[in-house]
Amino acid sequence: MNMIARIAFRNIMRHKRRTITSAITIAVGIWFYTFMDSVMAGLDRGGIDNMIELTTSAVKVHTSAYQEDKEAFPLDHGIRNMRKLRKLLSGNPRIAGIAPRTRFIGQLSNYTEEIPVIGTVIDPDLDSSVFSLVSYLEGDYFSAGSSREIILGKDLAEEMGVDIGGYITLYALTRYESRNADEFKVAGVLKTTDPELNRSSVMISYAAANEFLDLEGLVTEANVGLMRRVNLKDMKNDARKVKERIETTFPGLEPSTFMELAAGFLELAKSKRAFGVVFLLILLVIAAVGIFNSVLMSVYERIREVGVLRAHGMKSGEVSAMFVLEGFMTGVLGSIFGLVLGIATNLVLVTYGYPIDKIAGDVVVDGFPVWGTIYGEWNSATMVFLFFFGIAVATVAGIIPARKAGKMEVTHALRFV
Amino acid sequence: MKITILLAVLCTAATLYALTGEEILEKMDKNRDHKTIIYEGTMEIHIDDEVRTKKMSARAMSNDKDRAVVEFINPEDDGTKYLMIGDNLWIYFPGEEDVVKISGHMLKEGMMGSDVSYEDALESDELSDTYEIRLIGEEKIGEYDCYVIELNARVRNAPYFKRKMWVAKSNFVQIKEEMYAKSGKLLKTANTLEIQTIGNRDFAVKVEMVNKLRKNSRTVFTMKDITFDKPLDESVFSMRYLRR
Repeated sequence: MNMIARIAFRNIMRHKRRTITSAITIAVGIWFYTFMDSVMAGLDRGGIDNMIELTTSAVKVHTSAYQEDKEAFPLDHGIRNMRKLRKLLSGNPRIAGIAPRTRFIGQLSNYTEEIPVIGTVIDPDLDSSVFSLVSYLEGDYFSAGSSREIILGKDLAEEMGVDIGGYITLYALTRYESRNADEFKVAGVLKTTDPELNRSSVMISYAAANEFLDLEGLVTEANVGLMRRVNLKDMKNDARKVKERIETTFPGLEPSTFMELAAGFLELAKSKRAFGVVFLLILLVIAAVGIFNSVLMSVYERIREVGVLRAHGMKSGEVSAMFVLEGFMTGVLGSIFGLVLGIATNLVLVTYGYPIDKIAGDVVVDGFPVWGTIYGEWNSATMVFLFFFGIAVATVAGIIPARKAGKMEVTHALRFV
Repeated sequence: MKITILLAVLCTAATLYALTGEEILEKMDKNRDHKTIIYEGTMEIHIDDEVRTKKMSARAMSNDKDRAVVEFINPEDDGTKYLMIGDNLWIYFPGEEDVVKISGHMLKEGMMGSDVSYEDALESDELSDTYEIRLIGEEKIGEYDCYVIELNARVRNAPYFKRKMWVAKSNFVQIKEEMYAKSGKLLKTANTLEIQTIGNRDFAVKVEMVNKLRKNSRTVFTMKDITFDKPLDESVFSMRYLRR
């Protein structure tokens, strides 16, 4: 067997061009699959990242009482132990920040139209540690100490016919359900990737809300931001751990991870991924046919060589084994080459990303637009699978012609053209 | 000298007998006070050039609790019924055959898309519990000489932070009201457009509510065929009647 392996090895070294061609076919198939898999995962991840950074945060915390009545956005059932919550999570190096928010129901009026809105009270300093709204802001953020500034979604501002620096009237009920209305100066407008935010965002600072809504610092929502992980799975684990920690320490609080808050989106992304896998499998089959063809050709080109080996006394089984081994070795070579290429490309995707909006313009993933830089994802399971897939295809591709060659009469093989 | 003394006495007497804001409000309430009331109402909702009309048949009773049943009879809302008991409101929708309780912030919403909120309609007359009432002057509105009283919220949950009322001196009917937000912004005004003498009282039968946060948005509420203090069957003010 050693001798056959040696001959097989020498053969693949001797037929360098053919070996390299076959190995490149395998490598390109593996590389392309790895690349596409990373890009598709990156697109999904881009959508999820945008959602976390714009609306859900990694973990959103309400009180249990608030959760029961959350559709009404009540201005009570606030989180009283914000400081303790902050202290609890401060030791976790994966926490990027904790931002308080309070949502309220209101109406915007330009005296021609009145539009019902869900307003959000934010802490301008802390909010940026969790949400990336500032990156999407045209105009200014809240200026220090100003209590009559508002940030609106771009589409909403256009609908109300107000621009940055203009004034708009906000009507809402105070915490004690007394009516209040006042003029707010539009400090900035948000043009985000989330059309819903652009259509309906109304944000005021706690400095404004404490006076306007009699809020007295009431926080109904604590948003926990997590450091970005290259792999979504790790990010999910981090979020799950934070949730468990909060649940164990504060029984009155109800944390929800982004997986729960965006369950619909994630489910859609998952089913879309299944379709993506089917598409990539078709690519793999095409690659497999290429590999198969390449190995097959290399066998047929060497039928006369088989005749010589058989004339020297090599058994038909040994001839078959030699060709199968050659296929196997080519497969290993191609798989290693493809994997190295795939890892190198993925490293660039994961580290530097790719500006999706510059490459493809507006991209929508499951109804959630994605823009900015999209980063690739590591998928070690796929890589391991592809490595063995390349070897298996090359090996199997060698079996049939090898058997045929092994069974061939010596005289027939020697005369084969 | 005598004239000066006489004037001083008259002024003192006038001051002694001058009404306070609370007394004016009491008289105003007394004037519209009733055990029961039955009427046919029309609500015209004007938004820009569009006018929507809602017609209703209403019965109300005040004894231990204010109770009212309103049944809409215009074609679009035919069969929709409101039941108000104290501060609670239920709406019956005939299409869905379902009763919905209106509570919390929903009570601040406009009734049937009008400028009159459910809370405005439900408001009991205990304004003195909620507001500090002050007579701030006198003013003539149209043909009526009015007292001007100001109501400033005593409690944080007052529906409006400040209200100003113009009450006719002659019959203690409210001629005008302004409702303000905490910021001082004027939110709504209510103007009495027509007063009728029914029995021995003068009663505002046509009132206009103007939304000040939206131009060209007002609701005119007209009452006709008004009957006061006719005995009513109490079973009318029940959920069972609402679903019937």
